[in-house]
Amino acid sequence: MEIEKLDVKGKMCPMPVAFTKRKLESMASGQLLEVIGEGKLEFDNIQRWVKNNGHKVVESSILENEFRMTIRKHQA
Amino acid sequence: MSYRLTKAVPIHGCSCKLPQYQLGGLLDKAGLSEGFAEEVLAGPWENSSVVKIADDIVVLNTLDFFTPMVDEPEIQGRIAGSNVASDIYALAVTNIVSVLSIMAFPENMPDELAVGMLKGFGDFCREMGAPVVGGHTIRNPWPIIGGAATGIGDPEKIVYTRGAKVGDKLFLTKPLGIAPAMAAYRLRKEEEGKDLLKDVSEDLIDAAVDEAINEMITSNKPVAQSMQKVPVHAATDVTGFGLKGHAANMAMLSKVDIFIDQLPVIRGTLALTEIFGYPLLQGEAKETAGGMLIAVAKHDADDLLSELDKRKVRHFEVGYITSGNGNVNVLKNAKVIEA
Repeated sequence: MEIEKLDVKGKMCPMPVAFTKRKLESMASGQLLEVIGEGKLEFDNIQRWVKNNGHKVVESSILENEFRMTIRKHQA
Repeated sequence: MSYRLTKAVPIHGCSCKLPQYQLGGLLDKAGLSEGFAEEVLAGPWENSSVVKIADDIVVLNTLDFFTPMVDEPEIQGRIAGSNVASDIYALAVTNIVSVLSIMAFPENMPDELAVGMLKGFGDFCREMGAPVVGGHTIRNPWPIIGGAATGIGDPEKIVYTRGAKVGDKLFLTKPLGIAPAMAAYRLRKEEEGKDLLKDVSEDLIDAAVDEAINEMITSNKPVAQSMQKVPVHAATDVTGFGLKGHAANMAMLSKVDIFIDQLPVIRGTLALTEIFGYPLLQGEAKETAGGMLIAVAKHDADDLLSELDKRKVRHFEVGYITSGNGNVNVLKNAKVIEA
């Protein structure tokens, strides 16, 4: 299955969460989305929102200048 | 003016407040969370510290500052003043004898913005009868404004966050939703933000933003005056920990459980929350200069509401207290009121 990608680097809060939410809403259940962003605060915000809304973080990494988080959209 | 206060920081207002669990851990490790002298009637767990200096006099101290919520410097100063004073008013004390301002700003921020923030802060405090008598200003990458306030009260009349009793009713004096409203305020100034907001009417966003700003600069002093007239059991203002977080403090310190069955929110913030993904309906969205959460016995509730009405303070019944161990339960079917 193809992994969708979303770049939220440099976007003002709460755009990273809002764009992640909007992107996931356009995807099918079970599909994967890789979010690329920056800053621990934004990483935490997205991670919290993903967990609170029934989706799953399947992989994440925080590097010096960016983070990558792969999210599986919840199964209907 | 090209310099925008809200663009100079990545987090805004009370959102920059450290999470409760993290702050608690830091204080514990630093040895600052216990071991107080008996004159210290309230310490870091309260909105203000309370120190007894004579049989009938306590001194209250609080410190509060944060990053900008708005681009208009005088309004920003007023919001900061409102937030500082509220930490004294939360203990039902209205006599703030002095305030010190705290400000920080980067070299590229025009001085007129610094003057505006200080002016708004000073004006708000003056209108509350709380004189600004000094302060401290530094260079800093993020603009910051706030202050430290000193209040004087009667130890017998202080209302603490602890003290809520089983059977109490719980009231809130301002609707929730500052975070989504102010996020819309910022995002509508950005092209990408406008796109996110395209399904919400301009009028609804205007109304939500105006109401949020109005709520933030509305003083909680009349609430404190009302609490002085009625034997309320416990109170705290609702800011950066959100309704649930501040209710959790009350529940834990009072050794009771709290049930939230009604959520008053600023009109328009439900639609905005849906876009931004804020946990508003879970009671977890961060507030700035929010209302007072008050626990009062059922038989005194009408008297409290009458005192609040007399001072034109809005009020919403939001929940009740049961026996328990410090838990907060925001009911899934809590009634949402757009106020």
